[in-house]
Amino acid sequence: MNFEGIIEYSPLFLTGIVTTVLLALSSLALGLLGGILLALAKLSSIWPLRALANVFSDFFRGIPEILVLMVVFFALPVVLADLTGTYVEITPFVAGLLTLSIAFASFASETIRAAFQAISKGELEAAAVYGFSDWQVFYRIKLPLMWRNAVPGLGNIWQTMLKDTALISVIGLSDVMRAAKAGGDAFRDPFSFLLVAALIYLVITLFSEAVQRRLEAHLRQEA
Amino acid sequence: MSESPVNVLNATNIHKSFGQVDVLHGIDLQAAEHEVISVLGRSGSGKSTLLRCLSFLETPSAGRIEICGKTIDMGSVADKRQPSAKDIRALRRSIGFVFQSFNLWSHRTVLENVIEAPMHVLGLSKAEATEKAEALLHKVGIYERKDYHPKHLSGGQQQRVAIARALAMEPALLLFDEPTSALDPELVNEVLQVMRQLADEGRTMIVVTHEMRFAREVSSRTVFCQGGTVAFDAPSEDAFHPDFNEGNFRQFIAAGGNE
Repeated sequence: MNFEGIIEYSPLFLTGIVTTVLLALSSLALGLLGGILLALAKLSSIWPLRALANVFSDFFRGIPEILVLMVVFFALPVVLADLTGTYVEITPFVAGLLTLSIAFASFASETIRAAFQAISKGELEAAAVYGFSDWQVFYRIKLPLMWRNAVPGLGNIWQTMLKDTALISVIGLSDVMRAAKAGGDAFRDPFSFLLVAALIYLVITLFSEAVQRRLEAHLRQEA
Repeated sequence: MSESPVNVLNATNIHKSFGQVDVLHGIDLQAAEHEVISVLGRSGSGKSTLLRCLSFLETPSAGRIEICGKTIDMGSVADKRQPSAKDIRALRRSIGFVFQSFNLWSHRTVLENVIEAPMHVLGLSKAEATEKAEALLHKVGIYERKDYHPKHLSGGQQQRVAIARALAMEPALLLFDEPTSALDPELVNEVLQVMRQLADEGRTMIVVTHEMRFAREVSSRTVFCQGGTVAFDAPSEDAFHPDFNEGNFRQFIAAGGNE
């Protein structure tokens, strides 16, 4: 093990951790929002909306994330420049955020759709009959009940996405993976640095798994 | 001043069909203030559908419903009119509805279930709503469980919470849809007792039920549904008189009021 090298590279690893976690969390937020909207579209009574949502999620579940990333990072600016006439820069972070949240939303939309459908009709009728508006029924009753049904399934998708953040290193984002690669190259000791990266990912995922288990236990106790 | 009692409910010529199936054919039902009306009938007689139509959980196919002076007119079968969401909400302001399967919100505690609508529909402050809710929970005898989630309560306890939730909206008319049918036999009485108490307070109630004793002893009027129409609508003491037999009511009672 090249401990001196690792210590020398520890600031890079630290910023890498921040970037990785920040990217994962912001993709989770955007992906959840997208997943809820897609699920609502899939449950909509308007068929073009249903069709659009199904095509969208089937499409992005069916192609590799790295391909989406390449398109967003390399091809999208060119397309945008052709369309608008001005060059719009897409930073590696934004490209990663878009790619991961689209992927998360596509997978999560199925879990969320099923979670909405599992809500007992009676609880919604009770809300309606006590005079809640449609919007109040949605955010006071439907959304929290959906959440309870969806958390276990969403946890799996989240774990996958957490690891998929490593993909973004290929377009130059200074995440954990990138720090490992840089250190390994500099000291000609890829093994030590990749091992450190592996440990970091493991700590992050184990920590997130523990949080998820507590959340699930808490929700189970309630409902 | 007129001394005639004010009708809380005037429902006229209510029709309901689900696709090709006619469930209600022109039902009339009135409820004066302080009246307790039991609606009896075999399964499939339309009694639950009637109650759901009164609260617009099902939209009647035709007819006119007036509750506390607010009216929704669906027109006739030939000339249907769609009620607006605003009118339905206004009408529901006067109604408390108790479901067969309680339908408490499972993500909320007992107390939260009772303050939810007063806070977010009536706009009460949390302190006001909580004070009122706690008094109601005392009244239905479930105050000690106010911080429990519904799934940790028995069916009878859940139904009493559901009644408190209904009362918290101070409804002029309480609708009960088979409130004891989902309960284990030993839990039926605790719910009926609360309902008797409400009747004694002079609340206006319409109760769809299979509980013959409740109908006979507590309700002032008995309405018997058969095949989507009202077979009779009579004072309970008349309906339960041994000589009374309209619409085969005696056979219905002999069968225990079930099925």
